[in-house]
Amino acid sequence: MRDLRCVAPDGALLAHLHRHPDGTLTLVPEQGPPLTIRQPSPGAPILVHRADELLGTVTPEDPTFTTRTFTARLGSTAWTVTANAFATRYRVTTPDDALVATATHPVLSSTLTLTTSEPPTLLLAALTATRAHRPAPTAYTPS
Amino acid sequence: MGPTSAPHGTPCLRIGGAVRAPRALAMAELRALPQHACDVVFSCRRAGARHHRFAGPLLLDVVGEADPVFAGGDRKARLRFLLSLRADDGHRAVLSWGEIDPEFGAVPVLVALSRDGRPLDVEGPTLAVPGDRCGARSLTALRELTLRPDA
Repeated sequence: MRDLRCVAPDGALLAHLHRHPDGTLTLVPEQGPPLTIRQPSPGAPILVHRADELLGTVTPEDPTFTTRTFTARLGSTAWTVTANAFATRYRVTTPDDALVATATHPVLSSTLTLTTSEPPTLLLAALTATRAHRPAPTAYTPS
Repeated sequence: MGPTSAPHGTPCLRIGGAVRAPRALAMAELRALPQHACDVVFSCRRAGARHHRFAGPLLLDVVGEADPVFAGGDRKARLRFLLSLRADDGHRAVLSWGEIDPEFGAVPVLVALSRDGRPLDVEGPTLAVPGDRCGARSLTALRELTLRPDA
């Protein structure tokens, strides 16, 4: 599986994201210890650990055809992460809808560019956790 | 060749053509890619509407694992390419790259690994094309993807 480079708009490397064969992700920041991101079972909240410490969860909401939304509670932060259907564009907002960060991951690129004024590591964990998500094993249910 | 079981380590889907790294991906490798779900309605002439939920990686991400090469370089060069798909039972279909590219048609076509919550480990992956009226392009036991330029 291909790794993903996470960079700032000026090209500075922020982190590497490594995908393991079991779907677990390891986020290796340029500064600080690595984080492990995994979903214990399809549809369940995604867990973010630093070593053995659980930092928080990223919970999938019901997706639409065009948008996937997740609620991230990491440390003292609560964010809403929205990704388009192809995971090429992301937005992170606070509960009162203030924009915290955006990110782009162009088609077929191995680079994700994060734009934010906040410390990036937890934001990247929240964003990239969406890539560990496996949908719940359910049949079609009319809405 | 009839349907075959695709154990976790067995290559089941070959990707070739205009790619830098031709690959054969096992079910487990497909399962390790970012997973998506889509609801598909097949309007069958005899059976009426059939609703299914498919889950698996985007076809775009699966082809991306083989590192496609789009000769010409610019964004619109991708529009000259097509994907030829072949199933185990001999069924074939062609998609244009522009259909599945989020900068153009943006149809989230899946290489489905489960249908209605049931894993497709025995049959192998199924192509799931949201919006197809009768499921004619839902190739079961997808075995081969080839990326080609138009000429």
